[in-house]
Amino acid sequence: MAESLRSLEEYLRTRLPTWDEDDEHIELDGHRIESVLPGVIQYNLLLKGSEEWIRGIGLNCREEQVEGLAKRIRSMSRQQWTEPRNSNLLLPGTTPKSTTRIFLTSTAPSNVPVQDAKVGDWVYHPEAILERLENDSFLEKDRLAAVLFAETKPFDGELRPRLLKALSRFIEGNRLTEDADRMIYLCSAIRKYAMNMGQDQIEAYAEWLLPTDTTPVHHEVEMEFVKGLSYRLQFEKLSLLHESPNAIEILGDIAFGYLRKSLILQKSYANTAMLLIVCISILESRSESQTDLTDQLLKKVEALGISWFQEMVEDNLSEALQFVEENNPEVAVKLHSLLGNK
Amino acid sequence: MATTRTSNSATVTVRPLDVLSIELRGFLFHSMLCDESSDRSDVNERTRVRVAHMRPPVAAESFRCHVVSGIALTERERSKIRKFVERFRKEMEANAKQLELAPDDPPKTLPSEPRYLIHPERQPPKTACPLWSFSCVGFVISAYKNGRITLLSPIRPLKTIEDLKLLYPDRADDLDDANKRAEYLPEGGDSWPVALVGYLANAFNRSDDEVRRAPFEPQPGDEHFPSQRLPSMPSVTT
Repeated sequence: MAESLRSLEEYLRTRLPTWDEDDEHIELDGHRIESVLPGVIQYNLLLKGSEEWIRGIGLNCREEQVEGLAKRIRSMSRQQWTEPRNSNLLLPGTTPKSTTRIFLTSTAPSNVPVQDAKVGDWVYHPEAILERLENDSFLEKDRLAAVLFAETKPFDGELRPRLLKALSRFIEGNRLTEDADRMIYLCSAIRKYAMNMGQDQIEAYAEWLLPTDTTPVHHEVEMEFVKGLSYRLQFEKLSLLHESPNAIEILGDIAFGYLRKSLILQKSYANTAMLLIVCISILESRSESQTDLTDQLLKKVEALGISWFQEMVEDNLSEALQFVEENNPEVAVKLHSLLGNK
Repeated sequence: MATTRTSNSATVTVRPLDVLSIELRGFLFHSMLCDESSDRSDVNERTRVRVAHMRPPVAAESFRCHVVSGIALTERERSKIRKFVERFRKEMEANAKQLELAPDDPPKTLPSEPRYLIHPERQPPKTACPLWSFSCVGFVISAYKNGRITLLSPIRPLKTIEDLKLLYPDRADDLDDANKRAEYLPEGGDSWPVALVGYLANAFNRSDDEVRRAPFEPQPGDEHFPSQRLPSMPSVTT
């Protein structure tokens, strides 16, 4: 076997760029190579006739050879790497391209400029991302990519207010979009902004949920706004006695609007309504004002008579209480009291 | 339906939200939720089925599967589990877009993006990464939990780092790297009650009533399907 693997390695180094393959595998000296992945250079072998799998966990080649070999493999045909050729493989870089759009709703055709796909290494550096978010002279494709890649990078210290300012500008300019592709970037911006914003910004954040006289906030974007806020309220620090009357009023108005039998079974409204109730209950529990909006909403949920939805609301409220207990014990005491009799 | 295997010679029926698993060298190592809109009765081991799963990252795509597990979900359960998955749709689109746009040659010192876990099976959003992190099993059991079905007991066999290198062969090198290990196992320690894919297959290999009534309590050997529990241990009932 060791001899066979050595043969394979040699083969991969020297012959892959011109391999002769059928639609499922390439063959080498009695072995069937089911797949070779770019970048990590892993491979699966199926011993012919034996049904025995051998999984290679990396070529034993010198460090400086790895990148070159990966490039050669990739350069053969980008298309063949868009998804694993064998379902045993679950590794980075093998995703279907989002050009085959899935789960996009019937929204308007994209007006995001057609892009020459790949962006540069700058997407791994928060400072470089910020530069593109702040400076309109960069190409739009880079500014959009900056929004997307900012989501999973840390922006600490002085970088955070700059990030929030830039994302705020992007959200303000795009929050009413109907464009399916642009919504992907917008929702990334919303999630990142929500989790990083200070308590003082919650009131203004809620206003992004308001439609204009002629244009609504798309229901998928709306859910992401509410989901982002619910995460912020459950998982980041909050202080007691912090009033958010504007947010409570806006969220409550939307929640009551969706709590109708004819709507709750449609689109993302059940999730949005549930998340709204989670947000309102936490915001109310921080307030000194005597309001009973959560109580009214839960009565309305019960009156709907949709048992699975009521259970979903109850379970998610219960879980939210646990998270608030972990992150904001003082708020949790009041939240527990607010939900105590429900 | 319990748990069945796909094969080349016969087809099986796969229903939306069934749990699909992938096997490598006789070991189940990845679990996914069926994301088809209706039942499919034409599935063999070479059929690509639409799935939602923690790859990582959370993704919606098509995969083959070797093991199919499930129960006859009620409409109420189905609605709640479906709503859980729908809450991640926009994240799935963003993840797909990131992979589409990412440079061909990421730097070797790629900043860590802790979105995959071995244990615990899920971690909440943070400011650096405002997305839930899951293990593949964690995504599945969280979805079913939203349907009020608790698939696995929290009491499970403890696995050491050496066990995990065997269970996750493609991450064995990462597990030797202190930084990577801290991402996969953020709670530290030297052994963990990891939720393994085989446990799911064995959890579903019971009556529907039992799946709903009692979370499965895995024993050593249940990481395989069929279970390879030692003879002295009670076998999994069907």
